[in-house]
Amino acid sequence: MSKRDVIQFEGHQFLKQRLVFSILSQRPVRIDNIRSNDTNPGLRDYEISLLRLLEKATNGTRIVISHTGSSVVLRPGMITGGRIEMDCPVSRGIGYYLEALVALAPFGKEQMVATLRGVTMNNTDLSVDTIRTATLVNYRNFGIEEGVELRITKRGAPPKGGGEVRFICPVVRAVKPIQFIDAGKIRRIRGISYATRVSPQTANRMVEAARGELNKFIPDIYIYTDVYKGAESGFSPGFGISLVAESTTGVLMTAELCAEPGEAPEDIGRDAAKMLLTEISRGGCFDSSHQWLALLLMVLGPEHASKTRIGKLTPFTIQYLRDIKEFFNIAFKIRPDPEDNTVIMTCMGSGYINVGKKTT
Amino acid sequence: MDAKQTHKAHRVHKSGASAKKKLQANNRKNAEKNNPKAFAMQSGQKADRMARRKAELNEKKYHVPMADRTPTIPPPIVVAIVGPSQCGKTTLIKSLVRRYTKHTLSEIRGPVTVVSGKHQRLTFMECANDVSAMTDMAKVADLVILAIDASFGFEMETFEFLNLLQTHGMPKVMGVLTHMDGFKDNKSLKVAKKNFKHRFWTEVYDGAKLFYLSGVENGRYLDREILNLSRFISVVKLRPLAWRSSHPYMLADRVQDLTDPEVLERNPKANRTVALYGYLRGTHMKGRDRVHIPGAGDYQIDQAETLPDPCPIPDKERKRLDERHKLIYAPMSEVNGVMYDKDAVYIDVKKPQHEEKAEEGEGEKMLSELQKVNAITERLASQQFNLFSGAQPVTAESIRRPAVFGDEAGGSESESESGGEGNASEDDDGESAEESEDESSDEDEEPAPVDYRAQRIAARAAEDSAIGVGAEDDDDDDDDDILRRVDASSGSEDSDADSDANGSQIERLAPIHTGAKRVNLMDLVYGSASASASKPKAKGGADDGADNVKSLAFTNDLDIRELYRHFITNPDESGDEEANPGAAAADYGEDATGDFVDLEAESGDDDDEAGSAAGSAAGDSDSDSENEEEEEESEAELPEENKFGLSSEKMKKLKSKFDKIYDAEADDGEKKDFYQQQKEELQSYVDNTRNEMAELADINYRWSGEYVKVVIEDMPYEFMQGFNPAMPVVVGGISNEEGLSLINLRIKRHRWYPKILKTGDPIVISVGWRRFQTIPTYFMNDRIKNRMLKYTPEHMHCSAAIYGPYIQPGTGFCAYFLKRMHSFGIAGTGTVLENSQSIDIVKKLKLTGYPDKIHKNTAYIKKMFNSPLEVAKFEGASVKTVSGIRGQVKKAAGSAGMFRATFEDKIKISDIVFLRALHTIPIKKFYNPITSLLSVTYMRSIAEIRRSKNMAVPNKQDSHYKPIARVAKHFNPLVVPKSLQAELPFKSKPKIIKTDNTSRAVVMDEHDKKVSDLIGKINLLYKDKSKKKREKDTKQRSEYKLKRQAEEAEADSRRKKKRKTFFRKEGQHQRGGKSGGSKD
Repeated sequence: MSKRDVIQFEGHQFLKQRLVFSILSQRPVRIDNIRSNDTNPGLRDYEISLLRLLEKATNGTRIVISHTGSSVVLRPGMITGGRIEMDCPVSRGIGYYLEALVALAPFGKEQMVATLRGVTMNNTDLSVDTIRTATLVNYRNFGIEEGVELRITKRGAPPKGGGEVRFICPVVRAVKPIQFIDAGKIRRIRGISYATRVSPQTANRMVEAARGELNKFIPDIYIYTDVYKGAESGFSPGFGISLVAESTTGVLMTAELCAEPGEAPEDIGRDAAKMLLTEISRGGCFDSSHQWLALLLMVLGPEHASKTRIGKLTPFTIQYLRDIKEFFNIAFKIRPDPEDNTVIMTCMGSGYINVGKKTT
Repeated sequence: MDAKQTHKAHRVHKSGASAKKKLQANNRKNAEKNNPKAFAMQSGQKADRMARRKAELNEKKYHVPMADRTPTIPPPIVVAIVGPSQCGKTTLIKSLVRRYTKHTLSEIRGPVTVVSGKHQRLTFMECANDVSAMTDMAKVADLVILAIDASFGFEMETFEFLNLLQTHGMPKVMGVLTHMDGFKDNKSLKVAKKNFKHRFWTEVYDGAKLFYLSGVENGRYLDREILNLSRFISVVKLRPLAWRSSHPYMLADRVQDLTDPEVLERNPKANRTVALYGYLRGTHMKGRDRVHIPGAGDYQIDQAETLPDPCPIPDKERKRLDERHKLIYAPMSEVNGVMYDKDAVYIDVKKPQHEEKAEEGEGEKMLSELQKVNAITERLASQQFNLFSGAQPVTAESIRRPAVFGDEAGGSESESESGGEGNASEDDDGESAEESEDESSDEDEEPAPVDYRAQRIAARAAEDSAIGVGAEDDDDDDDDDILRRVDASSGSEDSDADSDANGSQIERLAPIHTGAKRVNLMDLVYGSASASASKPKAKGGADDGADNVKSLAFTNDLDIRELYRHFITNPDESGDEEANPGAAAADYGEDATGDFVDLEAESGDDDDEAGSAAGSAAGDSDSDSENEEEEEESEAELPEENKFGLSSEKMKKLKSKFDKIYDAEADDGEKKDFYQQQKEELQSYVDNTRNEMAELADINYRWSGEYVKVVIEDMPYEFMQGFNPAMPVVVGGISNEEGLSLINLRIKRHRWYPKILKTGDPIVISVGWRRFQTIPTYFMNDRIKNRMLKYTPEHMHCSAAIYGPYIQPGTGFCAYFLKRMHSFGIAGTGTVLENSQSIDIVKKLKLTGYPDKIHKNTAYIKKMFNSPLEVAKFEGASVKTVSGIRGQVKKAAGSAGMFRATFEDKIKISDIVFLRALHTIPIKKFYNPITSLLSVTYMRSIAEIRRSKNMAVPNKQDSHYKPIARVAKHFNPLVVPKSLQAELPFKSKPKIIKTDNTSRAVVMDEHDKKVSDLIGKINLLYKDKSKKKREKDTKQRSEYKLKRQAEEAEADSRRKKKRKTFFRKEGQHQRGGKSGGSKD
């Protein structure tokens, strides 16, 4: 009777967002030709873990993976939240999985308490520090404020990982629409310089280098050093730095870098600082790694207009917008602001209500 | 003009009754002023109570704040005329329409929209006397006029409808009493009016408006009475209702079949393409939205189009409504001889009733031809054709030019914009990679998560020498090879087949640009340029950044001045804090560092702490060390009283600025209470949305209040075939309320419904837009488990688990049976509590078994289970005998389901063993939307089926209650075996004693009497004596006890004293000894 067919995609790209959208929009999705021409076809271990994580976080989700692993069908169930524990493969950072949970957790049935184990920082995915200091803080623009917590109980550097984080997220009935156009001016820079299984001095060296680069611009810089020792420091040595610049209106710009074998802490600190400056130079109210969060929560808002300013559309964001249109039937009005080379994004919320949340 | 129109001034009466009255009233008014003591506070308690009462009353007035989304030009108010048949609904609409437009409608079919005032339009809709129509009307009506036949009295329909209204958000209700002319004498009329009014008030609210229409003239109600009614309608104020203000909906006033006649010729039962017209209400809507049509099901809108308003409010502000603006729009009724039917427009030529197949005359034929032409144009609009194979289909829509802003870039390829001009090399590189990309074939290589290092190194390389650096994709994604290496020469070897837009890694992750060279971003993202990428069926996407991977690229040569713009420390902005106006000098970097000295000092302690905590000695970079030195210097120079290193003038300025910002905020916060704040916040959302509407114009939103045509392509043919304009067609938007799940409801049987509801009886639930039949399982939560109930409680709420589409928790619902079995139809009402994929409902399960063999505390139980497998499931479960001996299931024994169990005591062979368990019952997943606009198929309850098939209710003999006839237990006498008897001592041996069982009466003679009398007297004396003695004894004893107690107490206190002194001494001694020791 109704045209409620399965949304179909091909290829392994953007798998995560499509699965997440499918669950949020309650529309089944089918993804074919996942690396079908590859010598090693099918889903990778981290993608399978992601599917498993989604299954754990929901109730009634049915996932069918084809024999070769090159196609997946997901029939979404309900986001439940609650206690979740998972050992994440070390091929991707915990950030990869956390991003999916960050998108889903506020719309669950009950508070989510997820314990994830694996690599806490790498150069592919957002590190848990950035998620803690920026991603989850960005929630507050949408009215998700109290009770959000990410605790890093152990740090695990690649390749072996061994880190552990605990993510606690409350549930909301609906998010608020935003009118966030004023990017303000950067008023302070904070950061975390972390090191595991290396000399504690490493962290300080990164801090110095980063400060050297940033002090020109602003004096209010405070970079915490966070050195984990013993059992809490995972299985591999590693270090890195995560920087967050905060503006007068609460805009958070982030940059982070994690060291590879043989790199000097000074280089890492300096490069991270430069990355932060590059990010700041792009402007906007959400930095390039958090555009997705802003756009998603704008779409999931009530039937009011939401508006924000972002620096520049990344290719990822472009595909993200297309997928949003596919799943939620919502197109953004994208208007470039030539004044400061930013983009203004406007949309009407879909009136998403967390149907799972109980009333008394 | 004023001078002309002077009126004679009113002269107040100075004497007479009215003057006296006024004086008295005045006195009363001033009483408090004249005699303040009499009105002084008498009792603090009373005043307190009054204050509290007032506060409570005020609190009652609060409603949960709700966003009022009513557009500036609101859609017509839906006025539903509801009532049982033959109570004058149609006459009422006709009278009202006549009142507003001077039109006399011969027939009312579907909604009738009229302009009723300068700012108000009304849509009248007669509600058919049918539960489906009533439910749908209750969901969309803004104002309900309940027509009541006074000659008959209240009918059940009225009450049913009121209940439907209450559960779906209560709109305004007015009552209209018709048939008042039946009352002969005035008194009975008055009494009847009063009775009706009071009954109506108890149902709606005290003071609800009830009109009396006394008679019919010329087929209409009396003009004066209708005028009064219309005045009340014109001032009605509508409160936003939660459900309706968060969903788009439309009451279709015209339905048109757009199906291609050729298709119909081939298959008359083909799905139809249907256009529904109506005013959009609630929120916005757009093409491809999902909607629910109550009575027809869920559909996707294929096209939504705004049409010019057929019944507009006069555009110019006028003093009063002009005759020519008193419009009427009723496409399905016949207005001025024009009628829109489902597939044609009829123009009435002479004959009042025009039959579709009765076209015979030439003129009529011509007319029908004309109608066909009309249909073709309609069809053309919705058709599309391909000019070239594989090209975007051309539709009437697509020929229209979309609004494009900015200058259209030729190729909307993503081009990386750099902050400055420094990225030329990267751009080049990107293009070269792109070219190579185009050449290279479609080998689908797995791009490893990211090659961040390439970006970084590339960025650095770009800094060192402006040589094009490309990144090579290392295709392995083994753990150690995830990190890609950079090969300066192999820029063209990029093998990412997927990245057709951006080749090199830098390019790929560098954000797509917006600025100087303007690309139409809408086109870039959604437009046809990227259509291939955005189509779901097409290859993955334009980019191979498979996820939100970090961009590790950075530019080294950022324009520092440009960058400063983003910081509060921007020296260019003279107004800003501590900007040194000289900083705009040429040597920027130097000045900047110089400038920052002050600032660092300003930010003060916190930063110093930070420095020390981080352990940064700041010895690394030159600028930093400079900073540090200068900082020290400046600090030394500063006057001591100002720790921030600012002149007092500046400090003052800063302070006033700070005060201005923060005090203002604090003041605002205090003034507005929470409620006010919430209301304002919601209002700001609405205002923002209004402001953005122009901006969102090219996304094709249909806003509330517009007249909209909605096309649905896959409507079943029954919809058109059995179309009845009397049934409301509502198109209701649904956002994320589509997936099916179990729903937990709180339900209460309606107090007027004569029966209780039974688990498993299919019931119709009307909630949200939907009406669906489902099988409820009633249960009650006893804080531990959800216990299934066979029937709902009589006067209490209980829960019900049903299967249906997601519904927002908190929504009200109404339950009724499809087949009306009683005079009152609403079976139950309640609210939705929770949507969940699983609800655990249990019922009691009691298994019985019998001991087969009993050892000491162990017994083998049979007949409880049928197989060892069943036993295995219950291992460890507790069992109990009738006599209360508890035990546990141990293990299966044998193959017939026998098991070993242990008990706390030996059980008897005659015992029955119980196993009490809870059995989770599966909830029946039955969801059947009631398609009342199509053809209705519904599930019948078992009772209905039995009734229809004339089957008796199965009569289980086991289930009968019969008087329990218990046979008295007969115990055998105790028999001691002979051998045992022989060994018993004589004393214990059973003896055969001959007793004469016959009892004899004793008759006393004189002597015996005397003796017994004496003995009696002696006994009496003795008793008396002993009693006295006992009393004396107890008295003595208690006295002695008291004495002892006193002595004891004395001794005790003495002892205590003694002990105390002893221990004091002892303590002193010990302490002395210790202190002495420590001294040593």
